[in-house]
Amino acid sequence: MKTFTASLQNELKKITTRKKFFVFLIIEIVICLLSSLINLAISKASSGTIPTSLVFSNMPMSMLSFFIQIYIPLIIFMATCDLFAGEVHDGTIRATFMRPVSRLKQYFSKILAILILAAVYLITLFALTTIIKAITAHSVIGLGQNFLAYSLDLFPLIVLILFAAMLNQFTNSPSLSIVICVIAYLALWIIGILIPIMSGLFFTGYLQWHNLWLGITLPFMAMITKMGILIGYGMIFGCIGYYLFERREV
Amino acid sequence: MGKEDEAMENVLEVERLTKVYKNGRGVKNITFSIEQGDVVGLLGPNGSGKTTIMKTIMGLCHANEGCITVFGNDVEQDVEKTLENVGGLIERPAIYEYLSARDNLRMMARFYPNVDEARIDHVLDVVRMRKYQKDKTGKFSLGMKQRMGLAMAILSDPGLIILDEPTNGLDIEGTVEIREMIRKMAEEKGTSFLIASHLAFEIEKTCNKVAVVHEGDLLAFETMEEALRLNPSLEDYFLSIVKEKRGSALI
Repeated sequence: MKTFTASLQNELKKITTRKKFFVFLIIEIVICLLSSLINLAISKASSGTIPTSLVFSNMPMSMLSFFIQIYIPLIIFMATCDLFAGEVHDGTIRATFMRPVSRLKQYFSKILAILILAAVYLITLFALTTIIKAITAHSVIGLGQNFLAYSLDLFPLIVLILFAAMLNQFTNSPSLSIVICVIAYLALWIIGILIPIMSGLFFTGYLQWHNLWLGITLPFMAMITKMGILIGYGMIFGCIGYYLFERREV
Repeated sequence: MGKEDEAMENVLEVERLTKVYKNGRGVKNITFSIEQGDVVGLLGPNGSGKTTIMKTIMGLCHANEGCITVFGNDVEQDVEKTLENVGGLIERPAIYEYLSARDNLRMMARFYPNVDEARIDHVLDVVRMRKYQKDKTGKFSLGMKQRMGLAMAILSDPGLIILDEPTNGLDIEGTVEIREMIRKMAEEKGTSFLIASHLAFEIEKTCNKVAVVHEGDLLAFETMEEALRLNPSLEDYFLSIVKEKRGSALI
């Protein structure tokens, strides 16, 4: 456990030292603020026809929808490529391969570090949108439900991270790796939209699966099935990715 | 003496190691061992398989056949346990260029309970990098990066240190300093070294044993004394061994 913790600390250090993840966090905040200003302008322009409280009442959830499907996946792909293909490319992966820590611990400490990064983006988004809603709509109604939705959406992100990490094992080039990740993600996403029946088979269709949990009724059987699909994908991506990482020669 | 006791005495045991890459290059049937305090030089031309042997010992490559044990631990079975007492510098230094020299060492130090800030200071002093400790390593020259690679190899004060062309990029003073450091660690602490080089005089000046590797084969493994008994220099010894191999191949 000590070596896993050491490995995790190192991965987090690598992520926090790279300024781009901080810059993207600021961009996330700027997008939220800009969106709020636009909403406020719309409300003012309507001369009270569209009340401010109504415009901002659903802000945490509408922002989550955009960030969870587009912005955070991109951050995940960048971080995965830095910690996997990027390190193989510049030879720094050897620094840890030559240390007394198993590759299993190395692999999953990287995965956990990327998950923590994604969680930081989600927490920032949740905090910011909730504050904006409280200030503009003078209400914190639905706070618990929103928090649950954000927490639930972390689960499919784990599968996405495992998917990106697995794809990173097929190439040593970080730029090629990020292109592969984006194309594969877009392909699954577009196929899911064009052929709705296929959407249920791809893990990308579950990135907003909080909708299933927070409805008026709880479709228990559907939830069990979808959870099984996600766990299945996670296990497959995790096993293949780890096996390739373990056999990797540098 | 049983085989188990024998293995316990040797710091490193390489038995019938075969590692062949997809392009057909690699090493075949390599067997040798290193005792405590030995400074063994792997001598061979570029592409002879020296780095492959070292990579396989460090767990960076997987052997096709054979067995490697370090302090009695099998590399393939338990790499974590094996690497607790091994340090290495293979090919080029694996350093994070966006981190400072000290932060690079701190990151590696996390894996060893006995390595603290005082040890990092000491290691930086040994490789004469203390005054650059706060600088980003990306700005370092080749020689400075090499010194950082050496610092990372000796950081945990391991019992076995594997160095691939350790004086690569170093100036004359640096080369002598590193040679002196190796001699001191071997004599005073009993640290064992496996050093690869294609420069015969480098091996001759640093090592007490020599292993000649040529086209993936281990042609000879001798004490330096024995190698120089009938030859004026290690270079002549190397050429005679290779000539002998070529002669026997023709017959």
